[in-house]
Amino acid sequence: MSKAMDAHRDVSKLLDEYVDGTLDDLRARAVRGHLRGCADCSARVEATTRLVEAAGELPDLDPSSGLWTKIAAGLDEDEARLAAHGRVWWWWQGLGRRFAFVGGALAVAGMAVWLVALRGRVPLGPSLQAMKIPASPQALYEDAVHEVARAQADYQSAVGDLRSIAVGERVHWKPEIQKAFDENLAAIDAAVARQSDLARKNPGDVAVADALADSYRKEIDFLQEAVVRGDLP
Amino acid sequence: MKLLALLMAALPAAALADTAPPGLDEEGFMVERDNVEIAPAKTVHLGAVDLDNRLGDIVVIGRDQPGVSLAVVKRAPDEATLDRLKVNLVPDPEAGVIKISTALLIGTEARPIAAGQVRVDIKVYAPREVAVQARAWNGKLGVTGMESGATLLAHDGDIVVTNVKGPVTTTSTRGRQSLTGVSGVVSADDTFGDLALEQISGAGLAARVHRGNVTATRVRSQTVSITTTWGDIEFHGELLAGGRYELRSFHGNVIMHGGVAAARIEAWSRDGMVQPEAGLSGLMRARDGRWLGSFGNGDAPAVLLMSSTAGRVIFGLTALP
Repeated sequence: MSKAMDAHRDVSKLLDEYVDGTLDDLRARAVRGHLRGCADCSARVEATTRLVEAAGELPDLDPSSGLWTKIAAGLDEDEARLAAHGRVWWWWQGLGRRFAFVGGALAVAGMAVWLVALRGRVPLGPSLQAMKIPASPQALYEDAVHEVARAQADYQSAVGDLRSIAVGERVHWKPEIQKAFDENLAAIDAAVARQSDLARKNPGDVAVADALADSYRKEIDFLQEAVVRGDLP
Repeated sequence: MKLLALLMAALPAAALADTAPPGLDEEGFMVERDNVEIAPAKTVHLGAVDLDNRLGDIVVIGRDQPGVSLAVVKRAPDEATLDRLKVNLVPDPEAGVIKISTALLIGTEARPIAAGQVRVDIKVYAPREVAVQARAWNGKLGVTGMESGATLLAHDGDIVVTNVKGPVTTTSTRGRQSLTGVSGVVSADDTFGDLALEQISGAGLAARVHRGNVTATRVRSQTVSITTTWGDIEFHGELLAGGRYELRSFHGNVIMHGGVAAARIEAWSRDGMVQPEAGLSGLMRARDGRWLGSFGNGDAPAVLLMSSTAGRVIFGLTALP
């Protein structure tokens, strides 16, 4: 299939929107540029426009001929340039946008974005073939929750390890160090307990899980500092 | 907020020439590759890229070009699942930040899918002067060639940083970490993984590992603090005038070889032993068990503090002019 035919096929998907006037300015100008060189599309647009006009559903939005004459020269050149875009550009304008541009951010972003997508099939690796596929439709969610729980178990393991060292080491610490250790650890424990409670109530909340992990790391840092330095002369 | 022109440019038509129609059978799974170019307008100062990908690897590569390029590879057992893998791209020109995150939409239909079978790997090419913030989970996290630092967080995944200037902060629970050629303040934290630091220079280096070894070679930082609970610490580097070097472990061995003009030394082990290497004379053992001494001559001696409660402390110094 030639590039011209490809472009024609892609542009044709925009023609109804063009007639309806719902295309944004950029694509509308590009379509107009294409119409100058494509008799098929021009005929289709003309027929659609006649139908719409006949139905009387659209007001006449044509500018005055005098105004048009003044700006036509500049627009013609611009539209011809837009119409010359490759197929990817047309594909992007009319078809699949695989990325989510949140909140229409691109419209105000001052950042231009180009995208190319290639899809294909590749063989399944042996390790993936051996993977057990859960039967539940909620498996993905549950797996994610399980992974977070496993991370918390890792942190708890380190905390337990350090606590047990601290129990043996504290006999070597000065009384004021023991006192400071107990007071600080109580405050940290309370913070971790609050975060754990939040995490239990919001099992799928990544931000809450991150905050809990952060609390565990602070507790690990504190305990490690105590066991490594508590008995320093 | 300024409304800036959104410019689109043509890509080579050949880019889609290899597109294969999606298909699936029991021997294959779907792969989608997306390449995205983000070109900020000239008036937009891009200060940072912020990545959050819990579904795979993140690699950030610095380059001497404006704009950011993304290469995203999604993998899933079928097309429907592939469509559930979403990459959110949020450019914020006012803040000068591009945020990229991934998500796996959970549908309501009963479709059995294992989480391990879906994956999104992201490779980002960004201007060197952009700061990097990235979070991964099991995937690898790599940053190279950046000049405004990086803040990296992973759980199981390894972290690799090479040739980065600026402050670098890394945190991992189970992954290994390797930081090479970093010029700036470094803070590395790991719970169960090994940490390798090579050719680190700058104002400060702080490393902390619970169960894992720390190896620091060719270090030239003004302040160094390395702490482990169970793992060994091995340090090879230059002790700068007026610098402070603190290597401490609870149970691991502390091995230190440094070049220095002048240093004040303090070494201690309660249940292990302190082993100064030959050439270090004048060390004295104080009544509280510390080994104290000095090395070389200079107006601003470096301070070298080493301890291991239950391990060995082995150290040697060579004179630098």
